[in-house]
Formats: sequence, C-alpha cells, structure tokens
Amino acid sequence: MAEVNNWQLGRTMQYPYPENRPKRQIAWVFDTNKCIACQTCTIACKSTWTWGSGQEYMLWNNVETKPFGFFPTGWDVELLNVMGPAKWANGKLESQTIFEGVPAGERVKGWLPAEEDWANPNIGEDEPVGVAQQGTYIPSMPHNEMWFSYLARICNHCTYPGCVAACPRQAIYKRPEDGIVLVDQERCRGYQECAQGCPYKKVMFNNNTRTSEKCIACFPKIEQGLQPQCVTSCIGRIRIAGFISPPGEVNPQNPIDFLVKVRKVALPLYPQAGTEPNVYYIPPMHSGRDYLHQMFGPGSDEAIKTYQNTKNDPELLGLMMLFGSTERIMHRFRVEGETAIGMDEAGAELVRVPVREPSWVRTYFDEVRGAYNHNIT
Amino acid sequence: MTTDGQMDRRSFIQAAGAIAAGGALAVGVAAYVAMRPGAAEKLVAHRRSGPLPIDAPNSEAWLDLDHFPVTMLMQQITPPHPSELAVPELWVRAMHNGTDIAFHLEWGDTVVNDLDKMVAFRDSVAVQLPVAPEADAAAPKTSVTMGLAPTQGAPGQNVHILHWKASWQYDVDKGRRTVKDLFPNMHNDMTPEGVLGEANALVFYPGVFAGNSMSARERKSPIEELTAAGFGSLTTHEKQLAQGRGVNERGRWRVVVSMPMDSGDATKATVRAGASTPVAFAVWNGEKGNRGARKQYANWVPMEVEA
Ligand code: SF4
Ligand code: SF4
Repeated sequence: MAEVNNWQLGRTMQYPYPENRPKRQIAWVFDTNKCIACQTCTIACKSTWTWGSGQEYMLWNNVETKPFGFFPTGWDVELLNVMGPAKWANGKLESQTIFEGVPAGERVKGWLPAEEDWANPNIGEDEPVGVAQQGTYIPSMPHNEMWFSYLARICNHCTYPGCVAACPRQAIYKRPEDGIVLVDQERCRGYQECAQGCPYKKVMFNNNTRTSEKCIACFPKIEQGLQPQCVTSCIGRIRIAGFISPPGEVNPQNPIDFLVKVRKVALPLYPQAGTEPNVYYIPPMHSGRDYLHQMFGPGSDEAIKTYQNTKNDPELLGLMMLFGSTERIMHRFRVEGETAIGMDEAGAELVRVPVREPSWVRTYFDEVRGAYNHNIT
Repeated sequence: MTTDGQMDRRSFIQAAGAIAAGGALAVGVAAYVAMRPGAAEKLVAHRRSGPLPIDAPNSEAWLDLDHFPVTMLMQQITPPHPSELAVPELWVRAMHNGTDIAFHLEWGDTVVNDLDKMVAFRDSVAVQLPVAPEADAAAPKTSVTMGLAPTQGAPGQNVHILHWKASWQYDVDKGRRTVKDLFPNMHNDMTPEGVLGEANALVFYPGVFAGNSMSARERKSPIEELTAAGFGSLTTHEKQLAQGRGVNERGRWRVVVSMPMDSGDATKATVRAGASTPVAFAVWNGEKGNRGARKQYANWVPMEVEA
C-alpha cells in the first residue's frame, strides 16, 4: 500500500500503487440540471462500441433516474452499504475509502452485482421520491418530499481506479498520455475482479469474448482532438470533455478547471469511494439536499448556489453556452461582451456563441386574432 | 466424501436425501469411490508402452492405479483469497511412455460449472512444473521440494503450467458456446458480422481481435499451456501442445492432462524418465466464486518418473 494524495478528499489515502498521475487527465463536466434522459448518449455509445454479441447487456453510458433508478440495480445503495455513510469535516473525508479497512483477503471493498441486476437498465425511470396525493403541489424548490433527477454515467477514468486496484494481473492500465483507463484485451483473463472492485460498476464482462470491457473514452476521437460520442451527441448539451489541470494547478481559461476549481460548480460523484473520479457533475438543484451531500460531498450546497447565480455571472454563463457547441476539445475559452469563444490547444478559435440567445415572450392575448396564447404542448 | 471412502456428515445427508428421493444413485456414489484401490504413499509416473489413455479419464487403465492424495490449501499468500476451502483434496495419478507424460486429477465437485459467463466462474485444475528445477534448487534458500515459490513461480524461477478448464472442455465437446447458450431467451436483432461480414466485424470482438486465448473461436484442446514467474505474471505459451479431457460424473471431476516430456523448448518443463521432478497443483471451484488467485493450491510434491 502506498500513501497517495487525493485532492477530492482533502487528505492522503492508502492505494495499492504509488501516485503516478498521467501527463494530462481527460475529464468531463455534466450539468445534471439540463439532462432530459433522452438516452441519445446511451445509444450513441452503444451503436459505436457495444453492438457485438456478448455485449448485449452492456451500457458503458447509461442515464438513470435518481433516487430509484440505477444500472446495475442498486449499485449506489450497495456502494453505500459497503462503505457506510461518508463523514466529512471541513472538506476532509473522515470515513474510509474502498481502499482502506479492506477485509482480509480482498484487494478493495467491492461486490459483484447479480446477473439480474444488469437486466433492468431503465428501472425507476421518472419515479419521484414521495407519493403525489390529490391536491399535492410543489410550492417551492428544493422540495425534500417530492423530487427526482437524472444522472448520466460513464466510466470516470479515475485517478486511482478501483478496477486497477482489484485486478491481480495488472491487466487494466491508465494511459500516461491522457489518463484514459483501459482493459488490456491481451492480458485480461476474465476474472471479473475489476467488475467487483469498481465502485461505479463500469467494467462489464463480455459474454462472448470472455474478457472484461469498459468505456474507452472514445480514445480514437480524443487522439484526434475530438470529444467522445456521448458528449457530441448530447441533445441537452449538458456535457463537455477536456483536460483538467493536476491538483494545485489552475488555469481559469480552461473550461474544466473553471467549472471544477474556480467556480467549484461541478463535483465528483461519490468522492468518498476514493478513486478520484474525473467526471464532474453540476448537482441537480431541485433534489433533496441530504441526498446530494451523500452523492457529491460537502460542496453541493455551494455549487448549487453558484449555479443558480449563473445569470449574473457572465463568464460562467458564457461557458455554459459553449457546452455542446463544437465537436472539438476546447482547451480555453473567453467571454467578450455578449459572445463566448472556445479555443483549441494552440489558441485558435473553434467556435463562438451568443451568451444570451434571443428569446421572445408571447403576449397573453393575441389582439389581431382575438385568441388566447395558451401553451398547448 | 473423505479420501478413505467414509462419508462425512454433509455427504451422508446428501446421499440420504437422494435415496429418500427414490434414487439408488447415492448408493452408487459410495460404491463408486469405495471400490477404488488405496492411496499411494508417493507420487509416481508409471511407465507404460504405447499411447496413453489421455481421452479416457474413466478408463480402468487410470482407475486401477493407486491415487496419490494431495492436500489442498486455500490460497492466502496474496489477495484476493477464496472465501472457503472448496476443494480440500485432489487425487493424482500419473503415467508416461517415454514421450508423453499424463496426469489424472480427480476431486469432488457436485455442481458442474462449465461456462464462462458474467458473474459466473468455471471449474478448473492446473498442474505446474518448474522449467529449470536444477537451477531453482541451486538458487539460495530453495530446495526442490519446499523452497520453490508455491504458486506460480517467482521472478527468475519460471514455471510451466497446464491449465484444464471445464468451459474449454464444453467448447471442445459441444462446440464453442454462444451467448444463446448462456441466455436461451436472449435476442439480438443486429450483429456486426451480420452487417459488416465476419472479417470486418472482428474489431467488435476485442478479445478475439487481440488474440486472447480466452476468446479463441476454435478450441482444439481443453488445456492451456502457460508460463509464469510469480503472481500476476501468468502468460499463455506460444506453443500449445497439451491435450487431455475432463468429465464429471457422480459428483466428481476426473481430468487427464498430458504434454510431451521434452518439447525441445527451453521455456517449458522437461520431464526425464528415471528422475524425480517437483510438481504442484491448483484447483478452482466455480460455484464458490473461485477464479484466478481465489483457488486451492498444493505445495510442491516430488514425483518419481519411472525409468
Ligand atoms: S469508474 Fe470504475 S471502471 Fe472506470 S476507472 Fe473508475 S474504477 Fe475503473
Ligand atoms: S444525450 Fe444528454 S440529455 Fe440526453 S440523456 Fe444523454 S446526457 Fe441526458
């Protein structure tokens, strides 16, 4: 066991291998508030990578309704069972990660979902917390008794992957050039230890080839400076992929850094697991706050406050408008007046978008036609 | 069942249950084990002339030999460990004809696990021989019988492993199973091969494309030859020559694995008639979640190879 720095926990932690950060780390920001659960991302991924026989059940990208949706069934409930509730004090994790207090004979605290847990990818869709009675109405948000939200999930290409720690053969590796985590298809012997060790359940066994497979972050696209399929196909424009600076370094012009480190509006999912996941979420502002604390850690209230102030924050607003505006990886951005501009690594302009899109509010009554303008959708 | 044919409490209850269910099978199980010759005191590879019965694990040629009982241990040297001792004992018999050597491995397992599948694991067994026992013996603090690394060799101490897998036996016997065999009610309305043709579709089967032995579509032998030099270093050998066959009947696996005694390959073990060689074993019980390091293993035992 080595002692490594996990900035998301505000402390060092135990990990089977020494700290060895990649030259740069691919990272994502997902704005959960904008996701409509259309599953276009899921299908984009499925039809690109996992349409072979043996991969039928695999969804490297899935979108689930929280709190009653999960794929595989109950994965996050199990994770919390395995770890116990997270305890934070002043931004520091006091409880144990999946790498700490591991039972004798195991490499990480994990579990293997049952076969049927993979059989209901859209279980719990749109099911809210609470029961709506005759006359139930929601007077204000957040409403602790009545809410649901969507959580889009891919492999987190963790800095300290649970899958890597669990594999006794070192058949999973993290690429030094971009931090993408891959299963070596020559070395894997199908032990499924990775599937057991990943807290997010994002490694899956191929029933035909008998090896384990996982999200590859569309590395052939990333190598060409393009964002992954799930990002570029997203209808809701909730996603952005880019490179995050290492801990202790911040580049405020880098979109990912700006969201994660400057505005701190995007947070890791279940950071208490200790893998330092690299998908960051803008928390759903209408969900139960206690739930969000467990899910995104202690920064969730502040993140929502910042998010709700976006309209008064031209830089944040401009960057939000740049989500989903280009297929290319945006390394830098700037906002000039009413225009937000995205740039590539060399500083060349990739895209420019208006910070505020023109909108028109219809009158309540159409004088010309003598008709009321109902919203008839 | 214990080694001397006595029933332990659990198998007695199982046997009683079977009788109660109207079958004479349980009586058969008792007789099946009890009629066997006794236990051998040492492991001997008996000299035979002519072809070895490598396809016939149930043949008298094998069962007439005394078995050498090997006590199996839970692998607890490196994590992950198995959760329980699923296979306490392995019976070993061996034969050679001067050209090939064959091992007959037998153990109790009432649930056949012969599929590689999500959240499911296969039964399997392995024989391990040192590649260069003399060099290992000469190395400091090692002796042929005790000092060699008990599982999968060590850096600089290569081992040669013959790994029989129930799932590969299934492939050989019944043809390589498809997802349909695992999930009879599954439906897949579009496959890469259907759209692109077999050759172009191969990239959508990454394990096959990468040449991983797990993924091989053609299976000629249920046994894989591997080399290793310490935990986690297990690698498929380039030259696959091992043969054999395994069957499970009446709650026991009987598996024969054979290989050339001298393949002329410096990276494989050489077995010489008239000499002694250390040999080690490992067994996996799929039902108990055994795979990889979650296994039962045995320390090196010396094997006399008849002249
Ligand atoms: S999310 Fe899971 S599969 Fe992906 S890198 Fe992290 S531990 Fe590995
Ligand atoms: S495509 Fe975008 S909006 Fe649609 S489900 Fe996926 S993440 Fe949500």
